[in-house]
Amino acid sequence: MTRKATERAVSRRGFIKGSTLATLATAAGAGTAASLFGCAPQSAQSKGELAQTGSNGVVANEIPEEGEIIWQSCCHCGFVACPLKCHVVDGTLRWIDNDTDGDDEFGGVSFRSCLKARSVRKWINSPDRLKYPMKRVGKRGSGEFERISWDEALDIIAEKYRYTLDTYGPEAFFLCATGTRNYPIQRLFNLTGGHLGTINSESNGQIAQTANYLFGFDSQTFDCAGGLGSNTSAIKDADCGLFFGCGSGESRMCGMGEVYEVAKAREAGIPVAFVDYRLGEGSSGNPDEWFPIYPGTDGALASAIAYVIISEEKHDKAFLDKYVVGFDADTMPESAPANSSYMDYIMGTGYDNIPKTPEWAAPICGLPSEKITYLAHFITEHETCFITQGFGPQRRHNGEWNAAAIAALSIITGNIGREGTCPGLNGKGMQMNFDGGMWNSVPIGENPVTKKISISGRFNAIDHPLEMTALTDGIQGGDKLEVGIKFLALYEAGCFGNSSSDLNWAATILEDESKCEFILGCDVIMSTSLPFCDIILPDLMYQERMNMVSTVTGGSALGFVFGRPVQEPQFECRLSYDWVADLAERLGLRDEFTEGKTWEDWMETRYEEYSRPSAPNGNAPSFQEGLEMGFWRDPVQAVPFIALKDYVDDPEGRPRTTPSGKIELYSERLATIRDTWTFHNGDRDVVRPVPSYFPEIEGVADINDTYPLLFSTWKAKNQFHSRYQVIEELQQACRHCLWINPIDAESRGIQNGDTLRVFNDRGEVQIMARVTSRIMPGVVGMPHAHRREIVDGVDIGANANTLSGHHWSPISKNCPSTGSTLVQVEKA
Amino acid sequence: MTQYGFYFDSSRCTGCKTCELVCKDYHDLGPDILFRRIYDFEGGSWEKTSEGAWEKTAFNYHLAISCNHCDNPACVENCPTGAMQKDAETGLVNSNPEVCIGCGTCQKSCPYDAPRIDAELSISRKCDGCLARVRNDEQPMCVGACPLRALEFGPIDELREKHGDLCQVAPLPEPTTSPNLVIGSCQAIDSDTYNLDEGYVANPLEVE
Repeated sequence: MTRKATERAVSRRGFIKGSTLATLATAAGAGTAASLFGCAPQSAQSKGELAQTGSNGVVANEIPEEGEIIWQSCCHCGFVACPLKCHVVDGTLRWIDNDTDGDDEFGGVSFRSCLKARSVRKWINSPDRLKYPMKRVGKRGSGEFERISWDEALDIIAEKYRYTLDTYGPEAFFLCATGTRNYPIQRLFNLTGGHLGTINSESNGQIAQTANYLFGFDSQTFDCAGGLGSNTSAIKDADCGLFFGCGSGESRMCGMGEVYEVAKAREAGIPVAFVDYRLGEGSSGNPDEWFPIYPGTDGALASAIAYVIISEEKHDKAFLDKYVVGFDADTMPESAPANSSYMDYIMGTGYDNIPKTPEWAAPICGLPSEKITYLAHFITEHETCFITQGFGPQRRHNGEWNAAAIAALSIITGNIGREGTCPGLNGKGMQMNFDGGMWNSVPIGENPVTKKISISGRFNAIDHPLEMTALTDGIQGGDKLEVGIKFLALYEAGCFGNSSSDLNWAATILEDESKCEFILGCDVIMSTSLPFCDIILPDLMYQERMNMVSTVTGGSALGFVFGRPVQEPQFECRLSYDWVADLAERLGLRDEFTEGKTWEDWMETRYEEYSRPSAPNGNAPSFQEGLEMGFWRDPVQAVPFIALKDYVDDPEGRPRTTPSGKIELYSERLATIRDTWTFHNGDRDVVRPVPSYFPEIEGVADINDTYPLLFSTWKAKNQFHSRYQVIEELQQACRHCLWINPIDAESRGIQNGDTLRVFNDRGEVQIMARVTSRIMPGVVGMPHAHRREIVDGVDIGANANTLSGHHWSPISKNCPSTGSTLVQVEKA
Repeated sequence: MTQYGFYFDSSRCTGCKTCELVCKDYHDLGPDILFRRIYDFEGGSWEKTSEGAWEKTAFNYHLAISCNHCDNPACVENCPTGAMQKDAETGLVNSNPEVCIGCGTCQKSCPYDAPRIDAELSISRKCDGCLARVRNDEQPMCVGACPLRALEFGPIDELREKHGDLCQVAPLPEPTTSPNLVIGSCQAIDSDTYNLDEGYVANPLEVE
């Protein structure tokens, strides 16, 4: 009887699914809701009957023991690092709570992590963990490995290390990690002569360059470095907010990130508008806030908004004259030719001589001209507009220009350096100092190799290094590369699957053992990158080691996690610092590497010397006090950081690092780059000295019959890059789908839930369809970094970068691994 | 008896599913049992304009729904063994695993799809409002975890006084069991721009 009942239950779920699909296909009306829930409407029960059945206390579900509370952090998902209140029972992590103190208001908000952090128990106890050192036995990429001992692994690594150093020198060493610095092996690299460096982060390489040329930095605070503007919590003091390409509902989704700050602002009566090609979760329930444009056209929209503002003389001329170079002829540098100001570009009196009217922009970006005018008035009719952008608009072939054109809107309206403003850049995280991007580590020392490549140039530097020069590939610290990458250390998934474009091409480069001769991987779970490694070492999870990390928030609060291990190391997993020390010993450098210190010793040193002094209110606890607390929250109410405030308050005393010391809407440095560099993509690589728009490669201007759909990606809710992907509960909660508009689906006979082929000349992926009006017609997209799995040449894991193109942006030479890609879609 | 219930704010919810995963972690549910489900309700259409741009009526909102601990729970009424009961003190509803035979009648009769059959244990399992915590004066786990603070829990009279008595929006069925649920509305629901009749649950596999 029980079995029969279960079958019924299953078949009912099948009915729900089927009826929903049918309804979608016919776009039928009110029946939809009833069909999902209404298959068995029930009559109400009488109170009398209820009293009989409800007379006793019911049996509650079992709940776990409190256990011992140990604080730890989540993985640091590129922005936030949520504290985890781990409940450990019998030496094992049993359940996770969030910070339960604090309140719901700006300035003291409690730290509430997202679904990823709440699944860490499944992560650290995953059966898919790397357990032992392994040596590759099949060809590169085959995934065939055999277990070896730590001694054998370290002996092999030491031999390859010496060989590489003797044969090629330090420039042949390279570290590739998920945008992170300060891994222990870098300290060893730097003790043996250094390693080839990288210029940009993959996250924000383009906007970092934009900020450099447009705003420069403050030489004391480095404000605007990395393309970071004000804390998003500053929006509480604005009259409205305008967000370009901000997927904060997915990428900064925890309870002290941007998305909550926007919700609070909305409820406080501060209107917000989101410009994006998809209706992101930040506007769920509030679709009026969504202004859809085609990906890669932010520069066109922003230029047209500027046209309206300048035409109506609503720009802040006094601000521009005092703080800015190059808005109009009044503030142009001597070297600039006539009619080359920003205003000349916008009004059509210079450059391409096209007035950037809303009617010009509407067919380019897909937003009606009256909506463009509305957005211009949205800015000018409010005294203070908080203007910001996510990393999406810049992570494209024309990304530097999208970023610059957006930031120009803050500049021309004087929405800079005062309460409630952001200079059109990314929302800066509020944090204390900690090493690299992720957590405190050992000091890595100085890198004697000064030469650096764009981080997207790593496969080029393996494949054809001797062709790479300063003027063609943006090499810094030297004119050209003398040797390719021969010893590659991969930490934590990064490198190949997560952020590199055109993976089929990249795979052919890694597979060739004559190019990069040795690849060392260190990780916790088999990633897309690791099958290309020669040796794989099993790392500890953050939660299994002492882990010192500042929380990073949107400006709502400040805290620091003093993480202790929640459980003993499993299998043969080892702390990276310890095995690098053993490797150093094989190279005769143990004492130099460790300076006699354990990892725990370094944690205390780094906290006391680097992190603790950076607490803005000078009240952070000592290391020992912190260890007892586990998590420290600053009791002083957080005050949002306002970018460029020091400059606006004191322009002579706090000049920017630009050549003029001012904000440069006209950049002589960019004019020089335009005149002296040789560009990979010929006249498709446009460089102008003023913020402007040009059509990206494989963007709206290149749509064709073979590949008619713009392809773009965003951050998944349920994984950080590929991290956490092995957790079945997370995959069930958030299915990996291709979003496609009903118009594009209907013409292809595609229904919600169908299996699709998505392809272009570079590759093909197989993925489930999500037919939704939340993405523009003509655009398809998916979360990036799903694990790649090639079967008969098709990526059935559906990693977006199997499709993405390797089109370097003109200035930073960063790859648009999340866009600038055309595809076709068919039912599989 | 003080009847308890949930408040859900559809204007705040981002569909992040933290509530769902917190519940799974705390109650150790594994991949096959779902106490709190997040419905992605969306729809609307697009039309190309004469200047080559797009006008849209696209909308979305989420509903995070667990058990509504109804005044007249159909699962209790239809349970053939009496395993499914309503708590005398809090009005929260749960099944007694010692009595339940896993026949699935509760799941079939619930308008909200709340009870689930644990195939391994052959019993019905569902959200009990974290009754053990509530008896200890603590909030249900999902409420304390929501990053957007879109969930509240408490005496239903207090929630209705604070937030009104809306308990049905698409795609929820007409209430026939007196659910103890209060829904905070959102712009997509309130605005005439959006035709909710065109909406559908876009993530059927994620709530099954």
